[in-house]
Amino acid sequence: MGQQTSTPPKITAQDKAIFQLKQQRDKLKQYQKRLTIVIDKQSNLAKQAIKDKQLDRAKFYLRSKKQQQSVIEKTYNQLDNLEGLIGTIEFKLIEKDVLYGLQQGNAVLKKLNNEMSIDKIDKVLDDLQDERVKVDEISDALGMGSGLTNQEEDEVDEELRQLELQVNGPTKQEIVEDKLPQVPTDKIMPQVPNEPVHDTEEPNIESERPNEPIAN
Amino acid sequence: MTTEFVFPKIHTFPPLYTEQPNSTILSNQLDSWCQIILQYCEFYKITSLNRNGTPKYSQIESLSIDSLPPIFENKSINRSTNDNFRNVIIHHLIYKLKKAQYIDPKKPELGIYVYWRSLVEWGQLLYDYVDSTGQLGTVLTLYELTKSDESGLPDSLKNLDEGLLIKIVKDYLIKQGKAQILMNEDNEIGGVKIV
Repeated sequence: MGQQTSTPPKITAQDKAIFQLKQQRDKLKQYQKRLTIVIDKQSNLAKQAIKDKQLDRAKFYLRSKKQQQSVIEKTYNQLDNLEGLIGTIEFKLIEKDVLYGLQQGNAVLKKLNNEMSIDKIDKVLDDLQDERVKVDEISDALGMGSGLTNQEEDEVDEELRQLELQVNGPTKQEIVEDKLPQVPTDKIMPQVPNEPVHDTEEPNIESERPNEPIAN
Repeated sequence: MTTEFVFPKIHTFPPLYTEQPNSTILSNQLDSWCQIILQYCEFYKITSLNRNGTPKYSQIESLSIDSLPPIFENKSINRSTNDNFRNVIIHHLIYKLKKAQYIDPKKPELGIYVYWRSLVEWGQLLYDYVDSTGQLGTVLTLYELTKSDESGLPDSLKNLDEGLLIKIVKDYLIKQGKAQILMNEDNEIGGVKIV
């Protein structure tokens, strides 16, 4: 709060111009207010004059009231002009800002484009390719491929499947069992009655289990 | 506004109107008086008082300031404070509670601004209004900020005392680096630019 160091905003020439116009506008508004009050007063006076049977006097008040009203009309036009001018100046200022923004943006864009010439990009990409080849070469030389072979990837996938089965066992198996009958339909049907088939399948799963700790 | 301010009960307590000799009691008494003044001023949106404690300026245009019930007088119990005690109370309000300031420190007879809303709160209110109406960075005349019917002023700011407005701008917004003032041709502050 006590920061005295912060610099207050600067007042530009445009600010001053707008300020002056606005002051004129305020004066006009005040003038209108004053006239409106005068008019009210004159209508009352006219009424009073009629009551007092002073028609001439009443007419005088009404005439003068009419005159004030026409003055107010005129001031509205002037007010319009002033407001219009203020609006135009403010809009021009915004346009100026927009233009400035465009110029700035343009300059930045130009600079960025200069930095990104096609030759340079080609060269960088070439370099990158070269380096990649080098990395592969080094990996090969050291006998450790940069990644797994397709076969190894397949094995990993298979293991993942097994693990999933183990972890989310029952639910997954149910789904598998739901789906299983659809696939074999005709071909396997004859084999189903053979009880040994079930027996052999289960040991298979079990026989794979002991393998897993080793894989881990 | 037709409703009248309801003074707190203590306002009908006769000893309140005489300066108490015991310093502890006096301090409580002064606090009570200041509370009454602040509540009274907030109720009628009075932003400044004359030196004798009568209202000087209210934001409420339709209010006839001279017909308000007096602060330092209670006719129902036939009591009123004397001038000296009034000065003590006002002194307490200004220097002890810091809820008031002389309008012009060199001319105390001009009266005081009463801060039932602090200058910082006023400044924030003004800033929020200018900000929310997208008028930051444009020049605004004092007339526009106080009297104009068309600018959609919030009731809290409407018809604010120009002197107080200038004080809010000068003592808070300018020090915050948020505002600059513009002089009119009479070399008086006529406008402000808030950024």
